[in-house]
Amino acid sequence: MNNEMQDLVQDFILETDEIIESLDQDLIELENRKNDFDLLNKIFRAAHTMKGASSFLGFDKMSSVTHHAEEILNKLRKNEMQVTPEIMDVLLEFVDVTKTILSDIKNGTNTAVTDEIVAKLKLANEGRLGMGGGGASASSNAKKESVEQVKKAAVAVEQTIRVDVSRLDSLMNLVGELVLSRNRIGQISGELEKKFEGEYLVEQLMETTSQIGLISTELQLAVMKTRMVPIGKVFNKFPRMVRDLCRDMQKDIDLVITGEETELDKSVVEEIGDPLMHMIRNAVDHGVEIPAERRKKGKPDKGIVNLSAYHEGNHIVVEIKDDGKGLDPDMLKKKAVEKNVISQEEAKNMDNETAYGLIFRPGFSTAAQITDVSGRGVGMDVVKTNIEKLNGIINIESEIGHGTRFKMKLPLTLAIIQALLVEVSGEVLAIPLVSVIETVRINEKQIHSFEGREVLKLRDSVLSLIRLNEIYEFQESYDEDIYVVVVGIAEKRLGFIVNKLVGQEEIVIKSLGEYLSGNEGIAGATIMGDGRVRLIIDVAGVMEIASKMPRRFRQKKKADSGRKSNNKITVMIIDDSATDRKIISRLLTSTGWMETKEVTSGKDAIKVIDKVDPDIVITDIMMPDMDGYEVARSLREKGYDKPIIAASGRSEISERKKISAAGIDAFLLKPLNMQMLMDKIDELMANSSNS
Amino acid sequence: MEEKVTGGTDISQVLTFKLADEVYGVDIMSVREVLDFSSVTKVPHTPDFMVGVINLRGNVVPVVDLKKKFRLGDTERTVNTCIIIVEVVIDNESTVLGALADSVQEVVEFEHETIEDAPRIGTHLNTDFIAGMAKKDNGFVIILDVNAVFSMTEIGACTGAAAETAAG
Repeated sequence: MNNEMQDLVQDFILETDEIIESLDQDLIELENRKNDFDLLNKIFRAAHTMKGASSFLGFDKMSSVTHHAEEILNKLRKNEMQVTPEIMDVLLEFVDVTKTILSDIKNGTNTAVTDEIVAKLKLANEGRLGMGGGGASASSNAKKESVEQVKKAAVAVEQTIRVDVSRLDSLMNLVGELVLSRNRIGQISGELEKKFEGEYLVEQLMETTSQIGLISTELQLAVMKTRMVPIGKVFNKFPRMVRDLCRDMQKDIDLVITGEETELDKSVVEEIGDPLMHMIRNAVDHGVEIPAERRKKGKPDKGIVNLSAYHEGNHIVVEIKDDGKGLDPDMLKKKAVEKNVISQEEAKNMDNETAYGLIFRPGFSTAAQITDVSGRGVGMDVVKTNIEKLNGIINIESEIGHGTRFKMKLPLTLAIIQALLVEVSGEVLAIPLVSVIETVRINEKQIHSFEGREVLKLRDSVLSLIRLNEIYEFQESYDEDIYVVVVGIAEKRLGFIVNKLVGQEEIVIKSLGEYLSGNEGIAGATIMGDGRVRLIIDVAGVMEIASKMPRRFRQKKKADSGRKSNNKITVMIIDDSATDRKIISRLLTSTGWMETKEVTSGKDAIKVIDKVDPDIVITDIMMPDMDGYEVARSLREKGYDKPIIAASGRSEISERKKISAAGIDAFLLKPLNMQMLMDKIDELMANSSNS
Repeated sequence: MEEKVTGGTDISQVLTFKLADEVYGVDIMSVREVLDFSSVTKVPHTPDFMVGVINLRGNVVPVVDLKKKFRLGDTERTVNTCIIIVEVVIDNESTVLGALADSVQEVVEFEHETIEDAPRIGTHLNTDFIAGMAKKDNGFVIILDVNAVFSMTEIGACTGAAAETAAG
């Protein structure tokens, strides 16, 4: 094949790709607007262009298939035939076949089978497929038109130039360098101004610097724009998908798309196709009910799935909303426990939002039945992985009976990002701002321990904390006041403990290179205005590392060091059951640094409390004569001021007020285990030695 | 390897530098430039011979402490401490790396015949790293094979260590 021919084929592939894409959309549209002749004409012209070009280039399969489809379309537009679902099916099938043929042409293969579709198209054309009228073929008069069509298409194409993506990438890199240099100049001239304030030349420099700043920002935006494509490119394939799914599942669903003109970086667009597909499938399959069920609930037969995109600050938000049955957090938790995804304990303390997040766990599917479409528990996992890769955040809102809304927040571009700079043990690190939800200043004392992990109570939810210095093995150096950066990746939320917040800056992501790649927890490096290299935190990676870290008992270190000087810790155990006393006692003495004093009733405890002077009291709640609350109250009245832990087999956990009113510091559920016990004791000991 | 050192002529130019008390050399063809020691950013989860990364005119370049790598002790930072930027070929891809040296000496020309194979005993290091040895004044210059020093197995050690720390 000579060069010219190759160029022609390349152009043909590109053009046909676009035509097929628009055919798909237009045909779906046609189903709703059966008598729209403009639309019919448009579809006919598209098929015709395809036929002309393919026969000219000698792609016989393509031209023969398209020829038959064109005949049907011609009849439809001349009103010699009516649009029926059957005909639509055949036409859509035809589009699918052309896709295969086109990919054959691209790859130089020959896999497409056209006999079947040609036969179907013929049948349809002769009206033997479902209903339809007869009519003469009208392909002959279309030839003249074809020349005009090609011309028109050519005019439209001239508005754009196709540029190799790698050229845009290198342009983007250069702009990245420029942004770095601009930051550097900004910093230098700032220092100069401090030194030589009021000097004419310095003022001129400042002015020029800010000018350069403006220009490079504009340039950066302009270059970024060249890489931007409308998200509609991805959205366009979904109406067809939803239609096919609905026909398969006997559902009636309207996919309403808004904001398809919203633009974002090509690389991001490429990555969100798959996750969106899975989420829409999920909404159609699991979300929206079948018409009969909807009617029962008093909803209209036709379900609605909204797919929308819009800008929000430096990010883009993609939303998928359905008006289906919604997610039931309790059901999700139950399922998760059954499938061993989470423990009973975890389920109890889980808030609704975290429960919704369970659907992203691998191997978790809410559909009772595995269908052809979804339910294998793979799809949502894909969603999570892809969104994580993009540093995106997923938010789920749901109301039982009213539907579910998935909100994905994605960065506009991947090369130049806004970052929050934080200081950890003297090192400055950058966190991509898109992952940052908020920052809070807290006191060390506000950190609690839960199942060996540090947590923070933030408003209504409990947030797991990670000390970044532990992740990166830096020296620990925290003051009383520390900052927590709340980050989110996909559906997960976590708090990073840092020493200081430094500021916000626009950074260019640079790879650490071959030699250091594959370093978990580090997304790359960037060069700051002062010329120093700073590392960028890979939020998803850090979460990964943190989940692998052994549950630890941080406070133990502190408590241990205190212990060495004053021998063993004395624990008084008050319990009427001998077995329970033995269990607790054995657990505690096995540590080697605790000794126990067992007492059988509250009265005895009060008698000996002064003599024993325990460092900790552990009491049962349900006891004859005097219950645990009363014991605690009496001990407090006698001036005992060290920690009291209550343990009980029943879930008195709901009676929190009663517990704290009695002066009890902590509550543990029986049967006790070592970890729970140690955890609480460490926490309480540390607190009491702090105060 | 010797062919590489000679670069196809009878003469090979070698940049000599000091690590502890010994004089080492690298083929000048693989040296890009020599920098004063400046601020280095530490990278977590890396072996201790990885000093960190520096900014080389907008590029992020890793720096290796050769002395630590050869187990010759720590490098004290003095005015003479410098970073030799070398270009090495790893997996058929050329990568830029920095090597920390106590001081850089000079560029010496050696005739091909004067460069001998490394002896099997009597050096601090694994002889795989050595391209050859040449006599200079009263001592020897140990000419390093940079590609072998930063070979793939060494990188494996780097990222492997990172994975281990992460898992532990």
